[in-house]
Amino acid sequence: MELTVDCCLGVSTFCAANHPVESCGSNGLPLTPNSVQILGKFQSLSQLEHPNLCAYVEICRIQHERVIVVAEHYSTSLQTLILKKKIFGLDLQIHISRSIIEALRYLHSKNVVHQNFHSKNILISSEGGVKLSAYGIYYMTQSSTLVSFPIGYPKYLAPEVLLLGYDPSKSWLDKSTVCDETLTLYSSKPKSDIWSLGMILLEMDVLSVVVEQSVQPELKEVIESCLQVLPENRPTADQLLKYPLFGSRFNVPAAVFKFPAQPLQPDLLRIHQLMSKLPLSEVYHFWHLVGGDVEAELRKAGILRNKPAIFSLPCLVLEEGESFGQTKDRTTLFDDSVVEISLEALLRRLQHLPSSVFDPLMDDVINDHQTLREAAQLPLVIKEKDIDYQLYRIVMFDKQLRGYPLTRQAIVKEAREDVPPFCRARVWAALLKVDPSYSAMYAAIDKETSHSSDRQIEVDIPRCHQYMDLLASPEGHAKFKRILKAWVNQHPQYVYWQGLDSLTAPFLLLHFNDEALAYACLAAFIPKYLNNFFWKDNSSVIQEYLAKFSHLIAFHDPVLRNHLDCIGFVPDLYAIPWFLTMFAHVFPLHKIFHLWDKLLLGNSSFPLCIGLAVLQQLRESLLESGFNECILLFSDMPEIDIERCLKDSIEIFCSTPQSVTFRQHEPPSVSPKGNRSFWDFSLIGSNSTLKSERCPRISAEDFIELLDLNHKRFARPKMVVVDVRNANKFQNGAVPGSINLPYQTCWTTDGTLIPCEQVEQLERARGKIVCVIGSSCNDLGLKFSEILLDLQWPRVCTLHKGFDVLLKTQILVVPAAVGMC
Amino acid sequence: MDGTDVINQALASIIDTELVAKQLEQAFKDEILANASSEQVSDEEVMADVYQRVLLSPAVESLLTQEYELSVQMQDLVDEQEREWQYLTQRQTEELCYAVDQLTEVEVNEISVRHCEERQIFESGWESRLVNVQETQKLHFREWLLGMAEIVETGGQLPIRPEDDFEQVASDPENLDIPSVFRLEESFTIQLGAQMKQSHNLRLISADVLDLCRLPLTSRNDPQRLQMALSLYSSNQSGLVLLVDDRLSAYTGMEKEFLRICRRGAELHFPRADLQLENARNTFSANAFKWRQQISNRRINELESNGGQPKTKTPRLGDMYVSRHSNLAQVHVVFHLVSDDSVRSNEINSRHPVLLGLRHILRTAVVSDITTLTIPLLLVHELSEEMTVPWCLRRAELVFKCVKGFMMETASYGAGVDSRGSGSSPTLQFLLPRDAADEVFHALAAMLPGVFRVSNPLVLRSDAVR
Repeated sequence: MELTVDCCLGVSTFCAANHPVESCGSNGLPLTPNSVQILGKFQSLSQLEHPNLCAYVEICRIQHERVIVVAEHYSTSLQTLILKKKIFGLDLQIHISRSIIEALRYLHSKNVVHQNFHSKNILISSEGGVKLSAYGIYYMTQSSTLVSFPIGYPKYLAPEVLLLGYDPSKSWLDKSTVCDETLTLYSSKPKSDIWSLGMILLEMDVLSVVVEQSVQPELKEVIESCLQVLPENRPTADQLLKYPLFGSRFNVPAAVFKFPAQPLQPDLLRIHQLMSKLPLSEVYHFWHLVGGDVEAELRKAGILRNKPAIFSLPCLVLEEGESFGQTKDRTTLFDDSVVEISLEALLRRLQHLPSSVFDPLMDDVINDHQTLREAAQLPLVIKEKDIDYQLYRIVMFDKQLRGYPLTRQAIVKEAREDVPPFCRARVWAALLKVDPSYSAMYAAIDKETSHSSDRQIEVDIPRCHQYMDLLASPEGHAKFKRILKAWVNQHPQYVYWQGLDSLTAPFLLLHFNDEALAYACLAAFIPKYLNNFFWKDNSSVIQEYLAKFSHLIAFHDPVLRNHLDCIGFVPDLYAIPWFLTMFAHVFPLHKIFHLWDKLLLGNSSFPLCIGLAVLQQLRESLLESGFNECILLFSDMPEIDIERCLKDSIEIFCSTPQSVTFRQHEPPSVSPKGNRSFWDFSLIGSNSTLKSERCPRISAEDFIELLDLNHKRFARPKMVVVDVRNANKFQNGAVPGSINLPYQTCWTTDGTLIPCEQVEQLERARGKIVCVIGSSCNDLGLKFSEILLDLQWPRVCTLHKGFDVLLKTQILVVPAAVGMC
Repeated sequence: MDGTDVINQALASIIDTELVAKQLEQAFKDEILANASSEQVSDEEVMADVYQRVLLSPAVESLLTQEYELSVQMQDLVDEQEREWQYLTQRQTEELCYAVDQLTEVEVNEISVRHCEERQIFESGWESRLVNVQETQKLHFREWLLGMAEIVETGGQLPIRPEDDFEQVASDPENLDIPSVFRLEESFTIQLGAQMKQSHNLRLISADVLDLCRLPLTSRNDPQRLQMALSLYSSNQSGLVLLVDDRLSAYTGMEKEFLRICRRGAELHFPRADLQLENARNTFSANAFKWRQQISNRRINELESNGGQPKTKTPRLGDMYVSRHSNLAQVHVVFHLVSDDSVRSNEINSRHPVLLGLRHILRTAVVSDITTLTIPLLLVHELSEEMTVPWCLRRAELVFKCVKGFMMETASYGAGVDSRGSGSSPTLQFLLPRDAADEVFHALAAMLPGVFRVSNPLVLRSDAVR
């Protein structure tokens, strides 16, 4: 569907009803503000898609319980046509009626009751399309129970609606305890919409009677059937469409009814043509990026007015919380006006963009355009607000995502650059390799049966990232619960651990309207990054992970590691929530988004590097602090610069041999290099061994790769090898270029190295990876490396299984050659 | 009951359709702008609008001068009254002394009766004189303002004020240098929230609570006056919590002192402070008392217990009433919170009614766009013997912790964090009595970061963005 020239954004607003002071829900927590509930209900409306409905685009809430709704809009309505006495021929009447009924059939099939019929809410596009607007307000306000004003126009309302619904006190409905049954019983039904439809058709027909001097019998039949007093005697929308009037006999192309709109300025035609292919929600996103502000638009139009706050103060507030003497603020009354926002300003802003930006796969757009290339270098938060750059990225990702799963590689490549917020939801799903058939899989999972973890889930959800309105809405809670229950039911080998809720939050927020996809992402994420973390007894998994984290700290930052060891501030005290939730428990969601954008591109060891980068960002405070201060510092995560943290963690990752972070519990590797069985690296021993060692081990495979004897990989050697076996053994065979510092003889009495030529050689290599090779039959290699660590020596590791592991390789050389060079 | 039922009932006249129609009409009138009766803008609001316009025009200086002069007039008058009162009491004391020494008991009694009458005559005479002047001032100001607004609107020539000659005096920098009423002050930026952290400003101050109200009247162009005038009708007003007794009386204690201060400045926008107080008293004895009775009746019915039926028509501990002012130094809105001697105890906890009242005040402040709120940190305005240093620390810790809880609670009253606008908690000023020892102040300044989390600045190194 293309956007027509006269399509614009319609902005409307209303206030949610305030909860009575001091009321709380059945769980004892304060009630969710009604505006937040409306936000949640709105979400499914934004998913409705029908040619005869104005699409809902966005909702936001501002102060004083006010919400602002943005929707597709056209300036011409049925009311304007009626007022302007446009001739209503039968063809036109049938076209309009059929369109409305089609829209109603769709709405009713989605369990949405319109209730808000009015000839001004039936809009006509320049192409003659008939589109209902404002049809969602009854639905999003939960049958008007979330607002204090009545919804609908009495002239069009069905008799039963008037009789039932408009008891102003809504005495049948104690809002704090409204149960679903009462709600369903008293809220309006689809049949009430049919009456309203009849009233609209009658209004239209009355006009045509004047013009054409005769009532169309077919139309009369339709109207009469709609205006039956008893709801059950009225037809459904489906039945109405089967009336002969709507048969093919009258099927006239809509083009006949064009109402030419104000033509667009010729210089904007090209960009309009390009933009019209984008979905309206995307266009709105761009409008927002160029500085569009719905609240300001409403203020400008005089719809939003603030009475000076000093006049709305109460006169008296009792200790019980009840207040007196407040007058009703007129500015909070319901105003059905819609403010039209033309998209022309946006088009004008974008008109300099070359057409190639809209076809990014054909050309190398980024290199052709200086400004885009420059924007790509900007900090993340800035380029996310750069309209040109975002437009280019979004259009590009749109194209790639349409080809998923075939285009997965291309998506990964682009995601390494950055992920535009608008596309994040779909990009993440692609990065996690979600199977396109996820919906059916989710549908098949039992999400209802009660489970032993239900209570904990019930407790955790209302405490999880509740500052996000969507996650705080009842709608959000319900989805949250279903996803968690689905995961628990689907993974009997695992249990619900607190933290799973935090892991779910980012996916739920991104895929709020696609619960199945949120689940699919979660289900793909956990085995990739948190393999076995959700075992009932997960201590071995976590201990291994933390031991590796300690090794990583020692490897990259011996000073920090030694300090933390010295004060006894071990990772067990702070890092478990980091890794168990992949930081989702410690950072706000907007930071998690940036963090996971990169995390999802890394392997299961990458989070360890992020952990280290976080520590390093706080390095100075940590080094200055004792145990208590450190505990206090991490009890509430300090501000972290995520972009820098990610840059650091990528550097850490690239400069860490893979085997340093290798874990027994890491997910089975799929990369060709992952097969380490030959070197028998996997079994280091128990976690206690792992924990007792303070320096990491590396595998022989990594060792040979880093040694790079043929100088293939690195221009300059990355690693220096220290052989701590005694001189005799060293003479019998050693690694080329290795330094022999026999453990027994190289130390002074105060624990430093006795200065000699070899030590100088080692000193010169400071900063390179130092791999200590010991004998396979004792742990002197490890001891040596730990002493180096004590001496604040960076990047120290030992060769796993010692010297013997190299015997099978061809690299060993005769000793003399080594000693002399 | 579904649609068919209700229609059948209506057809059978079981439902009073007339009544339904009436209710319907009322609902539409009450809640929908298009159906509401045409806008009833109060006189106050009209004047607020005019005032704002003049304030933002070149006539702002004349406006402030007007206000200043009217306030000076008021102040002189009150000073005169107080002088005469002093004179009167002095004379009477002397007479009485003489009488006690020299005259018979009967004669002394006669004299004191006469004195009493004299005082009453004096008070009522002055009272009506003050009220008269006040009303005249208000009328005068109103006319002046409307006239000025018209001049501003039509682009007319602003009147040249004869007192322009004295401008030099006013702009003398020494006159502009107003001494702060805060004896000690320290500011903190704190963060609240588990993951999403929101910054708030807190300030610890030591001052006399009434000094925040007392208008200095030092110069025509006091920048603070301008600031207060600009924010009067805006969405960032200042509030103050004043602890008062339950008598709501204008003749005793803190309330008396407060009203005296209010009287000294020209109140050109709102009803006189004593009228506002009376209004609060009436609202209480009418509406609030009735509400309380209903609640307790319901409770009695439910529980069959003879729980405390409200007996007095006066407010009780933890209730508060609100007054609005345009003539105070740093405050637009005063929350009069009813307190009693129980707050002197060392044993009060977070459920104490005064703390509950404080919670309602914070909530009211947030929804009413009050962006600076001053709270008596120790829940008293004056220190006494038993309020030792440990007592102060203990009390401050309780109030800090409670307020932190209230702030987290009010976070939900604002707009969501992902949407625009910040409906966050106001800047809070924790007020210590002026006579609190420096030692206490510094101990509390040290305690505050332990209770609230002082924000950790994000240090960006130069290599952060490469």
